[in-house]
Amino acid sequence: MADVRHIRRRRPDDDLEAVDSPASALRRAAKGDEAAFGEFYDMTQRRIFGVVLRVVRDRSLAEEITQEVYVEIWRLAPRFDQQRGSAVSWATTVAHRRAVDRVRSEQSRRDREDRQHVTPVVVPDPVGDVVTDQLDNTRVHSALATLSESQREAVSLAYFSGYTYREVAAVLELPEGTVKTRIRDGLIRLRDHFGVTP
Amino acid sequence: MTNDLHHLAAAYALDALDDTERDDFETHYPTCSICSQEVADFHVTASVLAGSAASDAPEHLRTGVLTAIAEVRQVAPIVAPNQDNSAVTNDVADLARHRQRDQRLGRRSQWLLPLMASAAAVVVAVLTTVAILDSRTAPDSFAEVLAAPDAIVTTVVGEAGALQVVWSRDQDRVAVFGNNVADLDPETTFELWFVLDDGSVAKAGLFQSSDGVVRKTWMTEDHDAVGFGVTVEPAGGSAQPTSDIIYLGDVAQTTN
Repeated sequence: MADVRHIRRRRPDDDLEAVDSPASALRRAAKGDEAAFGEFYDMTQRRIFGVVLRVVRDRSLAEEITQEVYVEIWRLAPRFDQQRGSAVSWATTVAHRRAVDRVRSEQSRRDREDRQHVTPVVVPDPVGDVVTDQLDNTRVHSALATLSESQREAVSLAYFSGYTYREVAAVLELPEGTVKTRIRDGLIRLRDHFGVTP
Repeated sequence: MTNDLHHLAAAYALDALDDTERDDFETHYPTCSICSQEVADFHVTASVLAGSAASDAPEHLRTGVLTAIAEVRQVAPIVAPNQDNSAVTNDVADLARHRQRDQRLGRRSQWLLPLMASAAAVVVAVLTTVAILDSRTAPDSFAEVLAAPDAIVTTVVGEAGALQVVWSRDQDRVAVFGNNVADLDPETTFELWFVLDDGSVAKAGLFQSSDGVVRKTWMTEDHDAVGFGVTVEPAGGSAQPTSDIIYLGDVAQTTN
């Protein structure tokens, strides 16, 4: 059989060949191997729980969502191997989206309850604050340093506060188009810095 | 508006679109190779960013997760179809049928071609060059499937990038195109599979890349496919996949 490895390789976060990579653990979990899923959990829980907690802020809610996320990943694991990209990236995407959706539905419930508070009062929460007290963040840190302050702020509010770009625009009192551009330019710069593009 | 959509990949990957825009974009991006590539890249970027917020989950959560999954059934994997020894005879019959239809369509194409139906207008706009180029080698068939009113464009993605599959059930045709595809050695071929609702697959046809470029259209059987997948098979193709699926994509649901 032909060597297809050369066309299915290469993502920064998981080496498909390595026995103990998240992708490898997930592939074994896809065959119903619960212990392998435990390994996958161990390798990814810091990132998954971390990002969920950052978005929702509330620890017990973050735990609840994180559990839902892992159950969902378990359920879909047999379809993952063939799917796009890195296992870590996929899991993070599932986690972030679920966290954001939860925050938003909670927000709209509160908005309905309390008409006076239409716009959320927010304290901008730059990524940089958190970055400094983490261990393995040199990569993210140096990447963020390449962004302009305004790009960093827009990306951070969108991703870690779970705001829509329109909400980011409202918070920063900027036109929506400006915010959209800053998010895009910022993410392109990060992408290039991380070497994501093949 | 449509123009705008192309600039939403970053905000989408950060989950920073409201529901309406998210829906719009999710309808759009699988049909747009640039946007799908951006979404994939930005998701990875966001995931790296997420690492900066890393924080240990409490120990009991691990137990909770492992207890919970023990009671959750996993989705069916994508598997090869049942052994079907009528496949070979079917293939022969189909070939004959398709030859006839090829000839019919060949005649029809003179008047079909100008009918660049609105459903495929976007695709046609993007791919006009492709179609023109292709029409030199395979007269009309490529342009024809692109122009089919019921043509559905599916982006199949994998580690290696993305391919576009255009499928017209009315014409029983599939077209595949892509760039930057890793060429295979001559003993092997790409094989396209219909992915069916139950997770099984049915063969859709073979294609090759040349200098990284794929441009091919052919007749296919009709299937209620929910997706397309691509594997690498020995030259001549296989009746069922013998290797991992390297590209995969869902067929967009249509309303007609």
